[in-house]
Amino acid sequence: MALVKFTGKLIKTDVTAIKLLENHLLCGIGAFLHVYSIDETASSLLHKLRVFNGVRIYGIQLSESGNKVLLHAENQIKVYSMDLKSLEFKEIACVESSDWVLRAKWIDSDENIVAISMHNVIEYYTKDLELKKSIVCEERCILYCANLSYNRWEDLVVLSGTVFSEVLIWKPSFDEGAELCKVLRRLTGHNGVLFSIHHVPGMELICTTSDDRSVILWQFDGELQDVLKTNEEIRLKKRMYGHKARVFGCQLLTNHVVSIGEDGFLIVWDLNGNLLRKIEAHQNGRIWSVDCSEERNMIVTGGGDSGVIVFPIKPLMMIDHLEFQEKATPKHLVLLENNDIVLITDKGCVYQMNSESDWCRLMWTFEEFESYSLLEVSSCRKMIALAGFKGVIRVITLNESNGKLELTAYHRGIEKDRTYSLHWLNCKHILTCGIDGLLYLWRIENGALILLHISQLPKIKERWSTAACLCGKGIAVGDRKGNLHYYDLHDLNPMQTFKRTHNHLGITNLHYDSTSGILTTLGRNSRVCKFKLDSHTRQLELLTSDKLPFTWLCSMVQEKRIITAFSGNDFVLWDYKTRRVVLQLGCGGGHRSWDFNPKHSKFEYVYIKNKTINVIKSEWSCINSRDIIKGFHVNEINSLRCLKRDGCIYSLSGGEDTTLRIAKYDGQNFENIDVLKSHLSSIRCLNLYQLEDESKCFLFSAGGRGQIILWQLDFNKENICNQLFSYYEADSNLSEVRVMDLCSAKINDEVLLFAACSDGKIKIYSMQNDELKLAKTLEYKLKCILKVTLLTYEDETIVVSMATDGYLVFWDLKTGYKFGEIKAHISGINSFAFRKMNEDIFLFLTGGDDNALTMNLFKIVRNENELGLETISDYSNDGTHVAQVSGVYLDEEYFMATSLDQKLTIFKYDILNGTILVRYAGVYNSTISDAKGIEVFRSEKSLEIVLYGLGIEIINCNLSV
Amino acid sequence: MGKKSKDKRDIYYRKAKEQGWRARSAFKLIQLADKFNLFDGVTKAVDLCAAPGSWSQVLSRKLYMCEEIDAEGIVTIASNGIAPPPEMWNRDAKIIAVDLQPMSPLPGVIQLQGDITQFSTAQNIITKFNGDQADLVVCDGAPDVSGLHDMDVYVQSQLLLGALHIACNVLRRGGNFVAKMFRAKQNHLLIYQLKTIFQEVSFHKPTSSRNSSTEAFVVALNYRPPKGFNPTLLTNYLGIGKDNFDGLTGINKFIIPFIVSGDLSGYDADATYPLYQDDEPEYEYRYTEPVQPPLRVGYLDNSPDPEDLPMELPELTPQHIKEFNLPYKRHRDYVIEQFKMLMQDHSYDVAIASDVPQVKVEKVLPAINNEDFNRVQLSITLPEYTIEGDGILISEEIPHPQRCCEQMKPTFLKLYDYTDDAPEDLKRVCQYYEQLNKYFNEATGEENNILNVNANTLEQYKNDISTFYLPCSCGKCE
Ligand SMILES: C[S@@+](CC[C@H](N)C(=O)[O-])C[C@H]1O[C@@H](n2cnc3c(N)ncnc32)[C@H](O)[C@@H]1O
Repeated sequence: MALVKFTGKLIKTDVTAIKLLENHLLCGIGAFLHVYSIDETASSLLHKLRVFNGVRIYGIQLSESGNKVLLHAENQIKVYSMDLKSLEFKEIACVESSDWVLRAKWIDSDENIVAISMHNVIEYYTKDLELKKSIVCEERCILYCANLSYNRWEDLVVLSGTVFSEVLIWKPSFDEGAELCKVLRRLTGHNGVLFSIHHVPGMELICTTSDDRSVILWQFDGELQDVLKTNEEIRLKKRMYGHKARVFGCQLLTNHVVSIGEDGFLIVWDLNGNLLRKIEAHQNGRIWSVDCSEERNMIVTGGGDSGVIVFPIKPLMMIDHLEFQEKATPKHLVLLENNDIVLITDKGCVYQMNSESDWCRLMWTFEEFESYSLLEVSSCRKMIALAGFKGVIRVITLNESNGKLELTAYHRGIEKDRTYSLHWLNCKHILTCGIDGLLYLWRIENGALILLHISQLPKIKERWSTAACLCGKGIAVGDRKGNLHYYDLHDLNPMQTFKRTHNHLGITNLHYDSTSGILTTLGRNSRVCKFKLDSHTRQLELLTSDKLPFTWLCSMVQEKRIITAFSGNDFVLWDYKTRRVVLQLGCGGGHRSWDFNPKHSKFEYVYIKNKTINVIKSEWSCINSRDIIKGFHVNEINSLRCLKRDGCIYSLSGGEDTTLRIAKYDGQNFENIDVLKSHLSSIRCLNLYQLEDESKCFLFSAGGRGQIILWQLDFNKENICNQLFSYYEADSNLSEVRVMDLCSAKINDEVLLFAACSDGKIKIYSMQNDELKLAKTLEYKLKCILKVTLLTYEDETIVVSMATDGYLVFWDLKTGYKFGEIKAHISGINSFAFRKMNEDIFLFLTGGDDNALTMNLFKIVRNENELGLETISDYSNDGTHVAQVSGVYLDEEYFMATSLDQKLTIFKYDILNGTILVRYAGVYNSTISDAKGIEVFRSEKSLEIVLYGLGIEIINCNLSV
Repeated sequence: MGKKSKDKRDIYYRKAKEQGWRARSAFKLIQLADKFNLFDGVTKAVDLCAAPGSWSQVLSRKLYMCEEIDAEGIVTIASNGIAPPPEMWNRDAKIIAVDLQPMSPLPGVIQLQGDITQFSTAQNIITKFNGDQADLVVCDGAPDVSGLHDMDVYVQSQLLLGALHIACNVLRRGGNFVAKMFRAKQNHLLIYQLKTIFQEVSFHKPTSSRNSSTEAFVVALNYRPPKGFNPTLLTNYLGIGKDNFDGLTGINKFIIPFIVSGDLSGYDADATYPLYQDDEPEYEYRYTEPVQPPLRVGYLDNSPDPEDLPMELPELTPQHIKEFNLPYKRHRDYVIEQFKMLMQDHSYDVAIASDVPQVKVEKVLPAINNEDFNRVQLSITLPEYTIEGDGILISEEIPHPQRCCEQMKPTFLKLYDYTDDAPEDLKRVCQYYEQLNKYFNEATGEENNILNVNANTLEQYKNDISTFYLPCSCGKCE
């Protein structure tokens, strides 16, 4: 019957099932099982197969023998034979239960299979999925989760979680003759729907999670089996709070409990319920699935952002505390290259100490550094500079052969010439800042400090520098008020100043990379700014300013793409690339004296707290997480546009998570190129405008708060997408308006942008000098306009608008009046596509909120200078889809539709004597929920379809079957 | 405009508040009832999944308190313009409302707390009817949306089955049944099968449902079960999931009419309305406070659409900020959003020019004594702002230049003293800060986080602003 053949090529959506094997990882994504190889450092996709038709995998269970796998999805269960060497998978058995399967597993040494369904019913199957019997629990109600414990039918214990906060424990083999099976125990303590339950035979604990945001550990004595036979109590041992939203899953391990939540947090607890580690994952979106291996120190999670991540269960760290015995208070400390610590006290005493060998030696006492001192280490960590109130500067060097500190340079200074700050520029030069913002550049030579140059900070309050670095042939300096200055070495005043690069809390760090010519600045306002130094003009130019989730940024470990920051009382290592916290350590906050020494494979962090020197050491590989599958949009993708270039598909997408993303699909891999966060609210629509230069186009994105952003795409540039202009309604009365759709065209040599708005208006903007100006407004009724497009007839432009009332409305752009309308749907029009058949005849396909697909064939006419509309014929189909039609496609032969019912349908059509003839050609059952539309590329014999909604699926449709 | 913003975004939300309904969903029932004369001759009704109670409210006012409600949701009292006094109320009317959550009482409504899919709840309702039969059973049930669409749809269909099971046990012959269901893959089959026990079945979308919403209502009229029909076997009887539409031919296999009810020329749930309308000169907009707060805010997340967020949350006043009962992330995001808007409003354009205050969820506190919700604490970080000139205002975190002080806390220093002829923007900033101060103090309960300096001390510092530091507690600072 089907005239075409569909093949699913790629899917990115919720990862609902995950299983960690010895060297492999199995993930259930939509209807597809993905097989990855995974070891300590790398992973790669080996195989992918479509197991189910349009339903997604919720569980993966391996047989004891390891050569069979049990998969379940909604009410279906399948058994596959599996060979991970040859990657051969074959379906052996399958069954459709009458109810949703919550969990299934192998029992009786792979001879049988049991499944628990949503209505609290156990189904007992043979290994070939023939039903032996069903056992119904006496408490009949719906469950959201269940756990099957023990591996033999006689022992099998079911723990089921109800919507009414209870855990029911029952045993299907308890009294097989009875009509209904007795509930043996009820655990009450939660306050909301139960989302997960876990018990492992041999452990005296049960773990449950719920809607009430808590995780509960329940305890009993002995084996659960035996406890059920007695009156022995199952006690609530600990209620654990840590998640900020619903807790979706948990796993009990021998030494840990792991829980995952709606808030994107993965929490590792100990068995007493103490929180050990809280990891932010999946871009704060939901985490659906988790599996762990304690031997391999690995947790894998699958998220709502389509991503899969591995984490170590326990970050391996060495933590040391050195009590400072002396009377004085330690003020500042730094780490040296050989891991020694140098410390200065409020009495001006300098100590050298080592945490491993636990020694501490007083080296010098400098009376000039009493009560106020600065202590800074060079980037090679072999030199230290000290300064204070009295203008004295001292340099100390580490003698590498004997590990001793030596005084190497000294500058006497003038009494009362206080040094406000001191910065190492390289191992020969330092910059100090004195009274009146005077900056002194020193070279260290032969035991002396030679003053090379003096410059001065512009007048500000608190006139001193907070960071400095060499930058090309000049010096970049950040001041206390967040301004950035660029000095050359000839003048007193800066050549260039960027006011308020960061906020009034100052610039914390400057770093110049000479190969790329990029200067990076960090501040205490969450921002990382990048400047480019033009080597000819010697001018800096601001490139980007990125906002991080922490306000106090400290430094950047270039090689690792890590930023160090403070968040409240914690020291944080943040991975710049994955935008994820790598490590968070409680230390008391950034006002303490601290130092961080990142090395190639290790790092060390020290800080002073209550006269104690705390030392933390670890290796990068012991703390870092890794993406197996990179995350994508966190929520629905509202709009997606594709471009084909060099045989690849570039996708531009925007959604509820307010991000605009650019990705590239080469037929195999789907690779994220960029994520841009400029929208204040969700992005609802995108529009592309091709420029004459083939490699460039404009991209318009718009959505909530009436905001429209203009971007330029340039495929020859490294950063493909750059923002040119952001338009948004300052008038708060208008700021609630949502822009629902956009289209653009060049009319009379002017690029015009048409925006369909939720207040019943079509706003027309003209583009001038890369900016948008409101030029004209077409007013419809107080109906939310959902779509807008343009037709050309003779030399006229006709605007077509579609709103929640189901009408296609035609406007003459010149006069601004509507001249015709067609009722296409009984409620909103969600999608459209059209074809110009000839000069004046158009074929319009629309998909509606009323589940229908409608085609209208009409003619534009001109009567005495006024435009008019004549319908020729129409076609309507309201029986194919059972939910809103959200996307359509139309070409000369075929049309397609996608709907919230997760079906992608294709039809063949013809127009004979003005009559539309339609033939159904096929259907593809997708697992992408909340479908929002399709983008299609037609070649002669096939269609390449990108379906988007809650995730994306790329599907091929072969037309020559 | 913070608290008015939702009024603009959602006309039904605004109308619901103005007309005294607990939730905007009231309009859905009103529109359906209007279309099918659902309330004609009804004295006994069951409202399943009723919290926070706007449907029960409609039933109570119409059936018990004998008020008239027009299609626009306006209670038109009676022909003589007087609300029927209590002695005129219909004491025969019986309304039973069931939900997992408790709700505040309503006249003439008996409340039961329970799971409608649970067998015992059904039995409980039957007992409450004492052998009587119901004329109408309605169910607006929606699961606690997990975000897994297929699962939510399935659970929703199970709620419908639960409701149907109850309906079959309490409905009189000829009675009517209305239930919410999601438009999604297999659900159509379920409605189709309803046709075997009801004479007329159709599928409706009230105009008060949003365009993007998958929710719809099945309206089944004239209950007439076949002989020997045993409602307890209903689940098996309807057994969904077995069939699918793969054999679909596109030539309409099942056609269940999809109808839009409510006046299409009336209000649009998706449109952004201005607060004042040109064509409605006599209509004067006044901001209305929300109606009855729900007993447990938690209900919110159970609703399938954000449109069903109750009206109780969005209005933020300082009292709310201190502690808020927000068990779900979505609510918190929502409140934060609202709060930001509120702040923006008070700041005029100033806050837009500088950073918007950051609102952070500080802490989620566990439930207190058996209350079944949890509380959150919000903190507000003020944006910095400095103006030098005729007036002086400094408000920023000033750490001591010497990093001597270990315990130093960020401190807010505020100096203000502006005269009437101070520049306009300065005045605004000052007002803005006053406002923020208020909120901040309310929120943290800590008065001394902000230091108010009066005109005298101000003089003192005026000349030396750049070297003024807040004393910190260590005592060692200069
Ligand atoms: C959209 S609300 C109903 C709104 C209500 N009709 C009104 O007008 O105020 C959905 C309700 O369904 C309830 N619910 C969900 N599952 C339930 C179950 N299994 N049994 C009873 N009520 C349930 C939720 O607690 C929630 O209050």
